[in-house]
Amino acid sequence: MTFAGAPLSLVGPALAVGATALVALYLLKLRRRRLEVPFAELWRRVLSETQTTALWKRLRRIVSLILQLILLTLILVAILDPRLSATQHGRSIAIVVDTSASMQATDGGDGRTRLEAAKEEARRIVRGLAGDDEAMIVAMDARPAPRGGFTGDDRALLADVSALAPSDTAADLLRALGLAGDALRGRPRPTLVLIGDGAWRQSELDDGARALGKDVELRYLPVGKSSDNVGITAFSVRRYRANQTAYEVLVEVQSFRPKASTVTLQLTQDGEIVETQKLPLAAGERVQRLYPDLAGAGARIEARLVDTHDALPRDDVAYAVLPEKRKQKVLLVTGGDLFLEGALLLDENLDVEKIPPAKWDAAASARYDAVVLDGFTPAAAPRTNALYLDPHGEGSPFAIRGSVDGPIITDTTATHPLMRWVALKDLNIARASTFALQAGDVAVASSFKQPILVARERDGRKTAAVGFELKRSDLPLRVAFPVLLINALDWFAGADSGLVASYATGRPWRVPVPAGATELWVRAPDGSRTRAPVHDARASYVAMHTGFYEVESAGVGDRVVAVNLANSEESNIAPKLTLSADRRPLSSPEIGRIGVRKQLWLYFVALALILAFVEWWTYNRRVTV
Amino acid sequence: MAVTFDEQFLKKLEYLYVVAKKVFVGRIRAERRSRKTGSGVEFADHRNYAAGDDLRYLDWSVYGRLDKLLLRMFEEEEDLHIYLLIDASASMRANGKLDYAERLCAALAYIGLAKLDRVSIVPFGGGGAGERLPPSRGKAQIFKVFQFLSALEPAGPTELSRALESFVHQNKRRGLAIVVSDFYDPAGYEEGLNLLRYHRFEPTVLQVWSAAEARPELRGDLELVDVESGETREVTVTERQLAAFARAHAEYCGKLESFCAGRALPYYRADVAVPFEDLVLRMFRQGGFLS
Repeated sequence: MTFAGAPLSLVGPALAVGATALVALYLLKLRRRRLEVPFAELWRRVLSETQTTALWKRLRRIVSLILQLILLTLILVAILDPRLSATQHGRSIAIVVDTSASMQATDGGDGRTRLEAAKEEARRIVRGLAGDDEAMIVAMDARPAPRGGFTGDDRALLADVSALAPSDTAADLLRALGLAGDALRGRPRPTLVLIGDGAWRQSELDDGARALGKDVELRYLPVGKSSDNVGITAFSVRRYRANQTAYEVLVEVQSFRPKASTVTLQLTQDGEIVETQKLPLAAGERVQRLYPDLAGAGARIEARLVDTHDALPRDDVAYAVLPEKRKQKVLLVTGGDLFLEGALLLDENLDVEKIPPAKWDAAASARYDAVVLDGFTPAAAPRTNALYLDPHGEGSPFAIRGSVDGPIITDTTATHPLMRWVALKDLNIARASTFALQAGDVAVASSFKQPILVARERDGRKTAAVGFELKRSDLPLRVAFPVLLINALDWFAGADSGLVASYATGRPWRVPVPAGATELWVRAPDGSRTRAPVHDARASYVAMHTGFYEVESAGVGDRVVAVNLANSEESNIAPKLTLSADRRPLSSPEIGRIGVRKQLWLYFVALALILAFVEWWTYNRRVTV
Repeated sequence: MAVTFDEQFLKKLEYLYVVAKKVFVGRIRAERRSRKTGSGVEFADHRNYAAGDDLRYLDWSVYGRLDKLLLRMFEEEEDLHIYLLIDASASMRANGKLDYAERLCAALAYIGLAKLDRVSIVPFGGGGAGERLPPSRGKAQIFKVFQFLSALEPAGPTELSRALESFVHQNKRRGLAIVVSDFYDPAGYEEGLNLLRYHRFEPTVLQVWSAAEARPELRGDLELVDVESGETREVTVTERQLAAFARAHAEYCGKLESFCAGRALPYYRADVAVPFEDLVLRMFRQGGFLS
């Protein structure tokens, strides 16, 4: 037995003082109300019949005094807050509450969300804990985390339950089960209670149950009733390369309703409606719509399903960011090559400046987005992205291992951005240098394992090198040449200059940081600011809610990132009332199996109340007076 | 607190008198009229002439002034004495009992005076003990009655036996002895009432009764003080004891009533909640008063 309330050093003297005061009050003669009666003789006759002996009368008053003393003792013991110590007989219960996006569905009953219904179920379990039971609360979204350790303090557990908040992410069941399983390991009578809508992958549930082992009792408490939902499951937008004032939008909408319905899709650009269309959807149908040649000012594009009246409004809106219109500044260092200059002039989004090798200034290269070095290899590496054509000498970024005459391109890394829509088959080259690769370098094109076209991405800079002289090959005469050049410059500019990908909630995204930015802050849609760690010229961040995030980098400017749920599994909100894990059906937990609570103050107060009632009743019935 | 005998009260008395005349007509009135006419010498009062009256007693001077036939009445040799014995002890103070008793006495006195009976008021108990209103007759004396009754202050013990013993020895003329009291006397009432009987008075018992005393609203720890003796008693009054007291009180009153019934003494319970004129009328109708 332990005492968690007021210190004994305070309650002990309080008991002594209170008991002394009570005894003193009882010893004092009761001052009676004086009342004149016209004929006291009659009262004398009556009282001689009904009054009992003085001894019994005194005894009855002592009973009353004893009752009062017990009452005082009970109240003071309750203030001490005595608790039974935990034993090995109690259960250890990990209550895993699904806080994923689908739990925001408003079919929890009485207008509540599923999460609110799940929290109420969790509270019922907490209130039904027996005296020796201990429990912990685990929030399960994309990043499952315990709200606290195992405790028998129901107030702390209820506070943990109340603190559960929904996120716009998918639930990571496997990690949640692993986390709860680790916490339950070695504890007496381990029990894991899953509370949610069951919208989890069966494979994760099976794997998780197997990892838990047979010692852990796995229970499931379903919430939710409806499958009525229509959601946007994909949304992207990109500018046209040729006409950067226009863009196109791709939207994917899926119905999870059991019957056909029609929804209205609305596209807005910075709040201005640019497109509205009615979409008839059959039961369970998924449709994709491409909206070409859209135009307008503003970068924030929203797709919104209006008038759906479904249970999950969260996936009725999706966000995308339109890439900004910007010309890429390119420095061409060449002694003169019309093929090269012509290919660069093709792209109107390039701002090309040409200088002869004699005017090369390494420090000035930092002002450009990319440098193209045609047959010129400076001693000091450029301070920006660079494309080397036929590098040579000590200044070559890629060490030259040797040369090969009349090489044939035998291997290409087709997945590399440089090779998009490029074919180098049957390319005729008089002579080419071969490069020695370092860790992280990519051999984009090779001739019998001899790298001829290589690429490197390091310290926020990208470098590519072509190991032969353009004039001594027929590459400039091929379609692949301008494409290769544009690919290289696009790769330098970013992942894809024509498309800014929207990120998914719950998954880490790495935002490219502009060169020179050392510190980066992310402002969430709710206005909160978080510092994001920068590593390798990218900032890492995990967004838990959908919307537009502003990435602020000091001295460089802001950038907007769109974050979407884009998860058809979360949008499919049909609850699963029964679940089986590893071919074992999961039953409901036994709620309400209430034992003796650890906190005994309630029992003492209840006893004190009963005694107070007995004292009041006996006093009013004149038994103890 | 002195009782107020105001205009309203006088009207009630007049009403009672008129009713009393109707009740006793042909039974007492004729007998007493024949007794009075020609048998006395001392003028007492006037009354209206009635057919058959002796014309010798007509007051012609009044006829000459007022044009009304009034008969002159004279004191009789054998006139009736009415003694109103009113309890002015301390116990009569509670619940307006003395006030009620005074109104009763005033009403009875008025009727008696109006019929030319000799009415005397004799208080007993501590308040007004030793004083008395000497026998008087005629309606004009009613204001003396009012004055006397108003001056009564309740005090002291009842001591009914001693008071009545003193009364019978001081009053040799027999007559009606109306005892108005709550009869709260630890020594009892039997001896006193018997004394009246033995000395050939005609006692009538009017017990002033209050429901608040019969079923008192007491509860809890009390120190009861007897208003007459000053004796104190600590009690814790419960529901059960209240019920026992109510039974004891009823039994006490019942015994008084039985005592009177056993000795053919008219007994009336005067509930202070009932208007006094109602009680007086009941007394008339039952013939227990002035019969």
